[in-house]
Amino acid sequence: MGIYIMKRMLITLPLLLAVSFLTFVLISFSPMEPAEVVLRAQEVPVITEELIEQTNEKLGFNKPFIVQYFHWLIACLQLDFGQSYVKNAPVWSLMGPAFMNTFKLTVISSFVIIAFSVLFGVLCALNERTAVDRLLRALLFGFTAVPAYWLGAIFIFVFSVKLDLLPTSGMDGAKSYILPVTVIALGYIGLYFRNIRSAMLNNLNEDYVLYGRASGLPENKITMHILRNSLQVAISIFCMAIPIILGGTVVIENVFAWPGLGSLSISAILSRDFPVIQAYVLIVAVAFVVFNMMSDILNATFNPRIRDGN
Amino acid sequence: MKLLEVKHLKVWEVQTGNVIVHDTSFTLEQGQCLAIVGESGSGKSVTSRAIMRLNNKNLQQTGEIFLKNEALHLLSEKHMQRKRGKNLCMILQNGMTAFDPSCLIKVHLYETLHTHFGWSENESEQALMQVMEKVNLKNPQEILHKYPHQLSGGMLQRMMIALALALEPDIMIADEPTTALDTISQYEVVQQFINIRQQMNCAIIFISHDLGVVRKIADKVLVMKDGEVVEQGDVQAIFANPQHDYTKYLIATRGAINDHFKKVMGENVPC
Repeated sequence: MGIYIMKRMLITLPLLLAVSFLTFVLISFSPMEPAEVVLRAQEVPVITEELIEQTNEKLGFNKPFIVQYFHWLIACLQLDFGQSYVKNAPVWSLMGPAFMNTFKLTVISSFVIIAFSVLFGVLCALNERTAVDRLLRALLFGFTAVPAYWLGAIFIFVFSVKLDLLPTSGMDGAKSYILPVTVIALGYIGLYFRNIRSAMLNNLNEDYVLYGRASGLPENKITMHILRNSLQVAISIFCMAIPIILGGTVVIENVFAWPGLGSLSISAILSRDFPVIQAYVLIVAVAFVVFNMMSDILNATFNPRIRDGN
Repeated sequence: MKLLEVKHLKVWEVQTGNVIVHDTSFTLEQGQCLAIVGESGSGKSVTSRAIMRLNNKNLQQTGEIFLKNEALHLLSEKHMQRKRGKNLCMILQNGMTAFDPSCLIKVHLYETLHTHFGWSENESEQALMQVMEKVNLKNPQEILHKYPHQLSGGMLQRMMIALALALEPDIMIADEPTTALDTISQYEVVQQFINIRQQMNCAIIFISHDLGVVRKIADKVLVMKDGEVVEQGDVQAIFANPQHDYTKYLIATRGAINDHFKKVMGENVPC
């Protein structure tokens, strides 16, 4: 098992390198000259050739592309993503707190999503084709089909404005998590519980279930065996859900005025604040790579056949 | 004394009303081996699962089933669960898929023994060591700590037999136990069943389409075709003097294959 984890981590290294390179290259494809962008962002009144050259010299834009990349990469490894063009502050001082805010939201939402997807998935599978199954499926599918911003607005109207139970927006104590987490979770539970449900139903017809029953094992023990095998399908999906939420809370953060990555990245994109965009893309991409690795490792712990390589 | 009595068993599909097993009756005495033969789709497995009340939800059954004069068809699901494993053991066709693929072999075995006898892991291990030796599984310790995919089909088959031996059931139901195996493993598994018959007083229901094996270990034969019992009786009588056309056909087909085999081999091969 230790060897498998080591191997899997080593494979991740070149992947991370490729991701960082792509991030850097894509931003450099932007049609504007970087020095000009910096000067415009700093609202310099008249941009002269001389000024551009000075900026190039100062920020190293006149060095060969690959040298620029390695400078940037080495700095990134030390969490130094450069200076924001617009706010004239280090990127990390903006990114760090925003990342933590979004991360908290993501972690809590993921736990809620996983817990309820498993719960509803098992409930539906055990009561297949009964009223419970049909009702839950219809309800959860409905919530997934509805756009998140609409649901968010309705929730704010009902729970914050009319009933005055929860804050309308912002990040202020535990209560302010309830609405955004609920809206995010409702969007995903409807997708993921179906995976658990169908995996459980597939496993229900496996021989080991029949043999378990024929051996007189109690139903709850058999259900645990089925769940154990069904979760393997879900692990990959859940692990991928975390970076998806991390990079995709833009809408929710806007609705609930959450001071997170989504809000920050949108304002950076609108003002062409390249170092911030670069850092955002890199963080989300790294999150995908890392969680993909985690899903493989978790799968290997649950499924001995993957560990043995067959 | 009649150990098992099945009266007018009928199994059908709920949605389509399609009858899979028609009015089937048979009995099994203490220590006897009953073989159920017939082509695939003839209702052999469904019949055997109906005894344990383990058919899929979309199949329904009527009829009376008595085990030692106790009416199994009237038991609550909870009581029936206690009979499974303890009184009625099942050995499946494919050992490779019969155990939870993500758990060590021992997990299923310990859970089963704990359920029926309340044994601790240590007690279960001791008991299993003894029975595993009986079915010729060497290094029992090592095998118990393996995953199903690390063992062969024949070993897993014998593992199921070993568990059945530890449970000491009244009846062992073996559903095509040799079909998924290669010839050498088949021979070993059949040998185990013969040993069980000699050493224990356990009745066996042996489902197979291999008449050679059936002739070797069964006392009584039940021939099924399209969900109906077309003939039943002592194994010698049926092989010597088949009454129904289908039985004659089955025995003749086997004979033809044997003759061809002998001809090709050019010598007298015992079959």
